[in-house]
Parts: sequence; structure tokens; C-alpha cells
Amino acid sequence: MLKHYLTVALSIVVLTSFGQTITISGFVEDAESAERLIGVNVYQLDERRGTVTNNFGFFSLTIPQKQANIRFSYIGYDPVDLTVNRDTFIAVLPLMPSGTDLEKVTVSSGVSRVDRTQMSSVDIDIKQVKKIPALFGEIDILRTIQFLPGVQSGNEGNIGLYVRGGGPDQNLILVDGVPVYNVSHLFGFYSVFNADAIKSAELIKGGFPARFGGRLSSVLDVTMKDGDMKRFRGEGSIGLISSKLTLEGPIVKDKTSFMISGRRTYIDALAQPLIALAEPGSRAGYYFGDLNIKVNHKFSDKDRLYASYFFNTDKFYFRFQDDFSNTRANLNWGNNVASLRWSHLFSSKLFMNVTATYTRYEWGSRIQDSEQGDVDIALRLRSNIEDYGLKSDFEYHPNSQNHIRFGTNYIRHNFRPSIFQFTVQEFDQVEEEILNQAEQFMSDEAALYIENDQIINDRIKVNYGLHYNLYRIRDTYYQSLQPRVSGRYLIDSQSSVKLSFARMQQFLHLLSSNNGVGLPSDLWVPATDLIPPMMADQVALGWIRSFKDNTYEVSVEGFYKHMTDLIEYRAGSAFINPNDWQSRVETGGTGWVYGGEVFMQKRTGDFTGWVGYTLSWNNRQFANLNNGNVYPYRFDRRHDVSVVMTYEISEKIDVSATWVYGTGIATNIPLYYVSTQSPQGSSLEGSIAQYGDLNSFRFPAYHRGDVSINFHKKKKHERTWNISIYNVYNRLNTFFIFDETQPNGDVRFRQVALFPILPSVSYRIAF
Amino acid sequence: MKYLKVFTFLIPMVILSSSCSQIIDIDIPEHEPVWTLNGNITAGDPYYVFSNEFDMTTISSYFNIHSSLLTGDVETTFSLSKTVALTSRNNQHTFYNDGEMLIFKGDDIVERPEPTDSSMQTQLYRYISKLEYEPGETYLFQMTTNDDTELSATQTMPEKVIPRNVSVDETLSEYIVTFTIDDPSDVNHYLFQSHIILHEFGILSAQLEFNVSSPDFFWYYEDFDFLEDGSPYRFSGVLSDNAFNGQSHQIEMRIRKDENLSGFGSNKKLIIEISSLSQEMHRFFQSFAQTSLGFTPFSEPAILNFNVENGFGAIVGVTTSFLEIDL
Repeated sequence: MLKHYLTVALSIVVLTSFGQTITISGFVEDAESAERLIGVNVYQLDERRGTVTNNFGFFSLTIPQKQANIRFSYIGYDPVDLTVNRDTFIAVLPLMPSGTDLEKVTVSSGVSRVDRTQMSSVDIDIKQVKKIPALFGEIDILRTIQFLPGVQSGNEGNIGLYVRGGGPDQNLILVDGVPVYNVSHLFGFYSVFNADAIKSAELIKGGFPARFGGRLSSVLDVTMKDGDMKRFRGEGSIGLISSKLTLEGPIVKDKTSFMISGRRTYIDALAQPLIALAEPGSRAGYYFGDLNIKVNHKFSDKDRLYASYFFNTDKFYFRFQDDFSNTRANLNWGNNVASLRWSHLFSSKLFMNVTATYTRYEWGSRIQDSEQGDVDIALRLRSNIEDYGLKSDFEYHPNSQNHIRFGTNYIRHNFRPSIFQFTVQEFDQVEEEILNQAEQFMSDEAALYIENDQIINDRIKVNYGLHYNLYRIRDTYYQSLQPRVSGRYLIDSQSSVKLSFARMQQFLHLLSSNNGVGLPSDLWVPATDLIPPMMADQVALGWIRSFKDNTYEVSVEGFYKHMTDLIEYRAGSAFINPNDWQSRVETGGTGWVYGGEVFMQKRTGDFTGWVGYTLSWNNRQFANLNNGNVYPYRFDRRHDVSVVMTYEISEKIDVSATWVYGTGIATNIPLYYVSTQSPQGSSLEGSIAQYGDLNSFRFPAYHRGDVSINFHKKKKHERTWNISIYNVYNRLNTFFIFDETQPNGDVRFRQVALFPILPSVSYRIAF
Repeated sequence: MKYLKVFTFLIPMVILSSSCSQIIDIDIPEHEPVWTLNGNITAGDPYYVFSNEFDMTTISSYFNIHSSLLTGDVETTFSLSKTVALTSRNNQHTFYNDGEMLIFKGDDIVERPEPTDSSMQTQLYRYISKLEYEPGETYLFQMTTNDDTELSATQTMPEKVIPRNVSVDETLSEYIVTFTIDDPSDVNHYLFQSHIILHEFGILSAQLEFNVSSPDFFWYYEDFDFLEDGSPYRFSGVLSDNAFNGQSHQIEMRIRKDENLSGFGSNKKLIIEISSLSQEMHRFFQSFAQTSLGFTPFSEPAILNFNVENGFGAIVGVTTSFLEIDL
């Protein structure tokens, strides 16, 4: 411990000034890996004035005194106290992980969620994510987020996020600041996020600060690990369906580091012999995989460069070969996401990030047939969306009362909804013909923002800002000025009330099939001259209280969200032919979501976890749907309950359990036949199956319990055996409903339940 | 090949689902049958305006209308039935002839349609109205059922449009027909069809494809594949008056010539049928077409748009006019 504090002392570079205030700024890192730490509380012990480190571990705190006692605290780390009496820049403030000292950590009070102006947000604890039971043992950060109040899952097993009544397209999901368009593997059963590669994740459901824009319902800000600057280490795991390996370490010690993490399933490899036995000459399979790479270089204490790349893919394939022909077919989809970021500290009060971004989501299918005689025929269908972007973000701390952020963002979107191509290759001659092609679009989206987090007095703190958007597609322009404000009033040192308002605009739409399965072919399309961008206003009011030195926390929030210019597929349409998608959608829809959320959390100690409850109403109205009447959104869910518990029995064993309950999904099933006359002159009677009002039928309520146990062993390396049981009491939750005519002529409705009780085991090693 | 995508998704989905899925019965709330009243009403020009020159049998079969209409014996049929639960073993509709139907114009009862049994086998009872419906008039249709349920619907017949300043250019590969209409404020949609009728060696007739150059020209059944993909021509089309509501408007129809008929003589007529749709008719037609698009499991649900109160069904109207052009 003494050595640790010595390191702290040696790391301090003192800048002297003689004003009435002092400013302490710098970067906070993990003492062992030199990984920058996000969200560390930095606060004045006697005055409760404080801040938190940003996504790059940077903080700046100005204090209107000549001397102050500053504490740095973070869950899972030993707190550090410093006394400063002049302007101080700390190039590196290392925090020691508490587990290494074998001490039980109790985080003392500081800048908790009670103090922050930001409401409706949750920091995801990646360590806890790894303890929670998982489907087939595959740890998934989005599945954990689904346990939070205000966040619903879609269908059974689906990792789509429905935040406060918004659709999955209304979430701005950022990986190192770059939007990711499709976050699902295997039709939504897994997310593309490999938990081993993630440093932090924050979800914001409302009260959006002005720096975020472009989506209506939520921001999920995921930061990948930077890579250990001090030593080489790794982590790997083997599960029932996949394995993964993460390596990180210094390229040049304390200067340059890397992190690389990969994951691949092997369902196809396991199934291959069986398929070959059943159908000689054929091969078929499915796999998904992803790869995260990050390199960061420290030019100086004030300059850093981060380069990150994220790739994921899903692929179905089929091959059949005999004496006459060779047929190959595949279906694949995936993201390519890259960013290059330069962080620069101009002074102890001004911090800057400039980021170049690239993101591309593509899906395609191909059927190819080769006959003897070298004639090769191929049909190819593909669709993609591709963005190039450049953004700058500045943080300025002019004094102890204000924390100003401002910046710009520019994105060039390229949409290619679909292209259907036919290729014939005979010997060396290749003929290509485009059979069908949807109109391509390019659009430009620019944004400016400024926000200030201002302390008004000891009790009141306000974050206010403006987000300006300008959007161009061909000759059509849309612009909007979006006000954002959130305020906190401290009732006492342990509790506060918060109020927020945010206007958000979205220039992209996701045309999604009605069954909510989350197919890769769900189509990203732009706002056009015919289809205006969506807009949402959200107000939220909340109360939060912490108990026992932040060990317990209870929050209650009510919210109301009003959305305009929503789109839906036109009645009777399907996603099959996206060529004329603009004529297949209903525009001008309105949506209302309102409700309340309760979140009770135990944050530290042997027993941790939370209970979340959401009560909400979620309706839509379109002039040409449901005869113009209001109807419930498919994911209107009156009650949503989640319980997450983790208990550390000893250093070697911990157990976890989760339970979720949700009102059934609103859906449509044909209920009756009605006679009708054709409007085209014929008076002959027809009979048409009808659904009743839109989304008027409900699936049975969804509930499920999962348990897991982790056995840890640490000698030279830390090894963990995980045993999970998904759906421990074998609840048959509805995946979809279909009607079936019985031999006697009766028609019965039946439901397909996808996952019965599913035990799994995985082995993890960290070295 | 347009279903390629469906198959490529369905196959793996089925494989995936069948791997560990379980199927169980699910209870559906019992469906209470609902009374349903239907009727399509036509006002305006009777079809027989041009029939004196031609063989009515051919024309009636061609236009898919009852030959009585060609003789001026106008009939409108209404039907009364009940919905049938999807789970019912026998999902045939039963039609009822024991209701009492009244048709009002203003406060006056103008007709009491009597039920007839048009087919003994199917018990397809119909209520026959012989009333000549007048453009611009509002009618109230009332049906009291055997359990004293009172169904009703109001329908204002659209105003008739009279094409003027008609000209035709036959010199190109298309007939280019130009005419002006005075758009009544209560009409929002016009349904067009075009036909050619020849009188030589007997009767020949054909429906011709056409296009109206307007962004507001559409057809309810966009997905029907009977036309070449991407073709601007349609056999039927609807023009919305978004751009000229309540104003005079010149319409240009480009009608594709039927090359099979080019060798025939000069005794030809081009018939353009213009049907003004009531708003209720437009909504019903649109929803009717949408229910026909449900080809795939991924189609969005479509709900018929009814205007009958206290029950289901559509009593909707059109007002027709015909433009005859000697070629």
C-alpha cells in the first residue's frame, strides 16, 4: 500500500498558481493495467463537491478554496485521499483494485447518482455481468441491460432493447463512439458484444445530455478495453457453443498497448458429421464470430491516440455436390466498425477528443450453382448501410460551478436497401445483370451541441444545453434545435429529486418485420422528402435515495414520451420486396409512452443485486392503420419485473439468480371470418379472416428464472468454472402462435416455446 | 425468385426452432358472432349507354356485371350474415333473410328491399334494391335483425364527373386521351378503366393497359404480378385529387394499343370508365386489397375498413360515368 501511495505522489506534476481557487485535474487509471477508469468519483471530502472521470479517465475539479482534501473512489478499488493546496495536474492517479489487497471494499459517499444531474441512467458493472446466469453460458451485456427497469426484451431470447417504449432502432448504440447498426447474432439470441473486450457501458434512458443525438429512446455507450500498458495478460473461455480469447499487453511499456479479443461459435463443426451422415455430399452449418482490436499510444501526458476496430459476422451456409452439379448457398450479415481518436489536454481545464468513424452493416445471400462444363450461375441479394463520420468533443471546466461541453458531429450515410444480381460465368466469360435494385440514397447529418453542468447552489445543480441538427437528402433539408435540460435538487446528503426534458430527432428508420424476431434483413432506410424524420419529447421526474454510505440505493422515476412522424409497414405489406419501400410504409404516426420505474439496488458487499419494476403504457396511432384508432404497440407491457441477485459465498464460490416477469406481447392472430363483397363490381360474397383490432391479442405472460454458480480457483492463474441453468423451472414461454387444422376439422391455436430448461457449463481462465 | 429471402430465413429458423422448441395448445377467447351487412351501390351512368350497338352478353361477361344492368334494370344487392369463429369446424357463413331492411333518403323511407334466395344450395340470401341512386344524395341503410340488433350505415353518393374538352391522339404507339374534369369537393379518388370494343365479324372487346402521368396515380393491388415488373401501365388505376381538390383538372391518359387488334376494321370504340369513389369506398377498397396481400408469414396484419355501425360490413358507393370515343 505504501508503494502505491508513493506511486501516486511521484505521478503528481504540480502547476502553481496563486488564485483564490484551486483546480485539480488529471487522469485516473487502474494501478495494475494502466487502463483509464471511467466514472471514478472525485470529490472534496468536507464539502461534497465533486465530479466523475469521463470516458477517457479525465477529471477536472475547481474548488473555491486554497486547500482541499480530495478523495478518489471507485467500486472495486481502494479509495485514495489527497490534500491539495494549489493547482494540481495529476498525469496518472493509479487506483489499486481492492481484490488484490484482499480487503472488502466499501465505497464511501461521494458523487453518487444522488448528486448527479443525469437521471434515467445506469452504469453497467461488467464484473457483475460476468456473474449473472447466461443462455448456454454465453455472457451477454445486452441481456443484463434487459434486467433494468424501463428496458424490455423483445421476443423470447431476443436481445433487442425496447427502452421506455421505443423500438430497437431508437437506441444509439456506440462502440468507442461509433454507432453500431445491428447488435444481434443468431437472429437476436446473442448480442455482438463480447464482455471480455468491454471496459465499461452506460445506458441513458432519458434526460439525454446535449452531446447525444440522432436517436429517440436511449444511448448505450460501450467502451472497449484499451489494453494493459504494463504487462501481457489474457483471458479465455470454453463454453458449449463458443469459445473466446482475449489478449492484451504493452507493445511499448507505458507507451503503447493493444487489446485483441475474438469469439467464434462451433455449432457448425459439431453438427457437420451428422449432416454428412444424413445427406451424403452435403455440408451445412451456421456460425457467428466477432473480433475486437484496439491499440492506444500515449504520445505524452496530454496526448493519446486510440485506434479501434470491431468486426462481427453471422453465416449460414449450405453446400451440395454430386457428379452433376455443385450447389452452394449462404446467408451472412455483420458489422464493420472502426474509429481513430485523438485525445488532447490543452490545459487543466480544457480537454478535447477528435474522432474519425466508420461503420458498415451489411447482409446478403447468395445461391450459386456450377454444372459440369464449367457453367457457373449465381444469384446474389445484398443490402447495406455505411457511414463515414468526423466528430469533435470538448470539455471545459472554467470554474468550480460550471462544466461545459461542446462539439460537432458530421456523418455521411450511404444507404443501399437492396440489390439483386444475376451472374453467369462460362469459362472465362462473366456476364452480370442487376435484376432488381432499390433506389440508393446518400444523406448528410451534421450536429452542433453545447451543454453546461452548472452548480446553482448547494442544493440545485442543472445541466442544460442545445443540440442542433441539420440533415440533407438530395434537395430536401431538415433541421431542428433540440433543447435538453435536467436538474437535481438535493433534499439532504442522501436523497434528491430530479427533473428532465429532452427533445430528440432521428433521421433513420428501421423497417422491421412484424413478428419482432429481429431478422438481419430488417431494413435501415433514411428520412426522405416523403418520409420525415421522427421526433420525440420526453419528460421525467425522479426521486433517488442512498442508504448506508451508498451501499443501498432506491430510485423512483415517472416518465412521459411523445413521439411523432413514426413509420410502420403498411397493412398487408411485408419486407420481402424492399424496392419500393417508400410506398409500403405508413407515415405520420404518433406514439405515447408513459409510466413509472422503481429500482432498488444493493451495490456493495457479499450480496449484491437489484429489483426493478416498470409500469407503463405504450400506444400508437396512424391514420391508415387500425381504422385510425389508437392501438397498443407490440411491446406495450403493463408490468415488467426483474430481480438480479449475486451472493459471494466465499472467495472461491459465488452464486447468482435472476427472475423476470413481463406482461405478454401484444400481437395479432386471426380470430374470425367475415363475409364481404368485392369492391370491384362483383356482388359475390367472399370470406376473409380478420384479426380484430390491431395488437388486440396478448401472448401469455412471460416469466423465467435462471441460476448459476461460479467456482473460482487461483494459483498461478485464475480459473473459473461456471454452471448455469437457463429457465430453471422450465416455463414454456411463447415464441410465436400458429393455427392448425385438426383431422376432425377443428382449428386449434398452438404456441411454440423455444427454450425449455437449459443447463450449460463453461470454463474460464485468466492469465 | 422474390421469395428467395423468405426461404433463406425460414429454413434456418425452422432448423433452429425445431432443435429445442416445444409446441403446446393455447386457449383463445371464444368468438362472439357479429352481425355483418354488406352492399356495393352504384350511381351515375348505367352501363347500357353504349350497349344498343353491341352484343350485351359479351359486354356483360367482359365487364363482369349482371346483364340486367345493361338493360337499365339496376339492382343493388345487400347481404346479412354473421362472423364465424376461426376455430369453428364449419366456417361457412350463414346468410339471413329474416331481417327488416329500410333505406332512407333524408327522413323518408324510399325502399324496403325484400330478401330473395338466389341459391338454394348455399342459402345465400340477398336483399334486392331496385332504387336508382342519385349522385350527391345521402342514403341511410338500416337493418333490424331477428334479435333486434339495429345495424346502420350512411352513404353519400359521390358527384358524377363529366369529362369535357376531350381529345385523342391515335398517331403514336399509345392512344393519348386528354380531357378535363371539374373536381367536386366531396370526391377524392377516381377509379379509371379503359376498354376497346370492336364490331366486326361479331364482337371483340379487350381491356387496355394505361397510365396517368401523375404522382397521385396508384393502384390498390401494387403487388399483383399480372403486369411486367416496372411497367408504368395498369389495367385499373386510381387518381387522387390531392393536387386539384375542388378545381378543374386536365387528365392525360396514355393507353397502350393492343397490337392483336390492329388488323381489324375501323368500327372501334374506346370506352373510358370513370368511377368517383366515396371516401368510405376508398378506405374499404384499400383495406380489401391489403387483406389480399397476405402472402407470407411476415406480412403485416390487414383489417377491413367497415362503415356499418353496431356491427361489421361495408355499404359503400361509386358514381360512374363513361367516356365513349370513336376511333
